[in-house]
Amino acid sequence: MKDDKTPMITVRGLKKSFGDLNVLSGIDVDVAEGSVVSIIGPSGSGKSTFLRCFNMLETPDSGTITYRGKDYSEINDVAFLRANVGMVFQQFNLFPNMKVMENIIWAPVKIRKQSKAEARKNAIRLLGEVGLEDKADVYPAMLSGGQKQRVAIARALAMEPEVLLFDEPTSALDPEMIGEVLNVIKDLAGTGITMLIVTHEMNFARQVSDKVLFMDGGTILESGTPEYIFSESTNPRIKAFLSKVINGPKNE
Amino acid sequence: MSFADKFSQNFLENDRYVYLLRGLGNTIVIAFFALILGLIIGFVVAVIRSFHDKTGKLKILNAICHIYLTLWRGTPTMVQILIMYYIVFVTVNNKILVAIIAFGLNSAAYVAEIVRGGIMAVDTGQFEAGLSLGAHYNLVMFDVIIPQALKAVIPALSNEAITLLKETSISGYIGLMDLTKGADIIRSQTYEAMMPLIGCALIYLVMVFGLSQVTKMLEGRLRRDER
Ligand SMILES: Nc1ncnc2c1ncn2[C@@H]1O[C@H](COP(=O)(O)OP(=O)(O)OP(=O)(O)O)[C@@H](O)[C@H]1O
Ligand SMILES: [Mg+2]
Repeated sequence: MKDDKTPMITVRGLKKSFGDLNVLSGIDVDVAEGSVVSIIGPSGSGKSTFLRCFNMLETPDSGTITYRGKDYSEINDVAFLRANVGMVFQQFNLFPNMKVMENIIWAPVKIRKQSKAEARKNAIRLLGEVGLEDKADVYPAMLSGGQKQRVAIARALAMEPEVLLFDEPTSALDPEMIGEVLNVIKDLAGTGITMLIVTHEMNFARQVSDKVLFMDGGTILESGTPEYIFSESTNPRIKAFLSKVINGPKNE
Repeated sequence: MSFADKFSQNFLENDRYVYLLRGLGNTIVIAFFALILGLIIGFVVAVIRSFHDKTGKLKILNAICHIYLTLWRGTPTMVQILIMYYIVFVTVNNKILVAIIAFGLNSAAYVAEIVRGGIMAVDTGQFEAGLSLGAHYNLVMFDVIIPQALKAVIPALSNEAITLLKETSISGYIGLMDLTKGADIIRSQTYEAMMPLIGCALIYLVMVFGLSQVTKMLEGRLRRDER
C-alpha cells in the first residue's frame, strides 16, 4: 500500500460529455505512485473515456488532472506526456506493417532517439519478460491474440513509461489466452510502474489492485481496497454488478 | 488481298510500322510520367485533406485541394487537355510535356481520392496507438498509416494507371502522335482500317495485361509478408 504518499496523479471534478450525453459527471481520484488501480463497472459507465483522459486521447470539458504537480491544461507537449503515460488497448493495435521487433523499437528510436542497437537490446529483454523472445522477426498477423497483447505490452514498456493504462486488455482474447496476459500484468505490479486497468476480470482485479474504482453512470460510485469493494461494500448497485459478472455468463 | 499482303502494305511498305513504334514510344512516355506526376500530386493532396479531416487545420490548403478536385473530376479529360494546350500552355511548344501535365493533373485528382479513402480506412486504433507512444501526428501518418493505406489501395491505383494509359489515346487531339494517332495515320494512307486499328488495340491490350500482372505480383508479395 502506497496510499500514505502524496498522490502522483490527482483528478478533481472531471467532466466530459459527447453532445447531450454526459459520460463523465464529476470524478475525483488520487493515484499513488507505483500503485495498481483497477476500474470496474457496467458497460457505458465511462471507464474508457475516463482512462483516455490520462493520456489526453480525450480532453475533458472541465475539471483537472494533476500529474506530479503539473496541471494537464498547462501541458504544451502532449506527445511528451504520452511518452510517459503508455497505453495498452483492447484490440492490441500493433502495427501490421512492422515486424514485432520494429513495433517495439519504433517509438524508442524515433521519439526517444535511442540508437537502434540499444533499442533492440531493450526489446529483446522485454520480449523475454513477456515470454516471446522467439517472435522478434515475425509480423503481428502470425501471432495469437494473447501473443499480440503481450507484444503490445512490451511495446508500451519500451518507452519506459511511469504510468501504464490498460483498457480491457483481455476482452478481445479467447478464454485460454487470458491467463498469459494477466500474468504479464501481474508481474509488472510492484515494479514501480503505476498502472490503471479497466477490466472485467474480477479475480484478477481483486488480486492485483491496491485500489478499485467502481464506475457507474459517469461517476465513481465507490472506491477502496479490493477487500472493501468485493466483500464489504453493501452498495446494491455494486453487489448486483458483481453477482452478475461472477455468476452470469461472460457478458458485461 | 491476302492477309500477308495486307500486313505488308500496312506495316512494312514505306516503313509504316515506324508510325506505330514512335506513337507507342510517346504513349509510354506520356502515360509513365503522367502517372508519376499523378501519384505525387495525388498523394500530397490526400495527405493535406486527411490532415484537415483529423485536425481541422490547413483550412486554406484544404479548400484549394477541394476546388481542384471538383474542377478536375467534374470535367471531361478531353476538354481538360484542350484547355491546357490551347489556353493554359499556349506558349509552350512541347506537346508531350503539355500532355504529361494535363494527364498528370487529371490522374492526380483520382489518385487523391483513392489514397484518402485508404487513409480513412485504416483503423483509428492505429493512430491512437502511435500517438499514445508519444509520436506526433506526422510521424504516425508516414510510418504507420500511409504504408497500410497504400497497400490497401494498390488495386485501385493499378486500375487508375490502366485508365490513364487508355485515356492518353486522345492525345492526337493536340496534334501529338501517340499510338492511336500513329495507327490512324496508317489508316489514312492505306485506306485500310482493320490492320492498323486492330494492331493498335492489341498493343494496348498487351500493355494493360502487363500492368495488371505487375499489380498481382506486388499484391502477392505484400500479402505473403503480413497476412
Ligand atoms: N467519441 C465518442 N462520441 C460519442 N459518444 C461516445 C464516444 N466515446 C464514448 N461515447 C459514449 O460514451 C459512453 C461511455 O463510453 P465508454 O467507452 O467510456 O464506456 P465504458 O465504460 O468503457 O464501456 P465498455 O465497458 O462497454 O467499454 C457510451 O455511451 C459511449 O457510447
Ligand atoms: Mg470501454
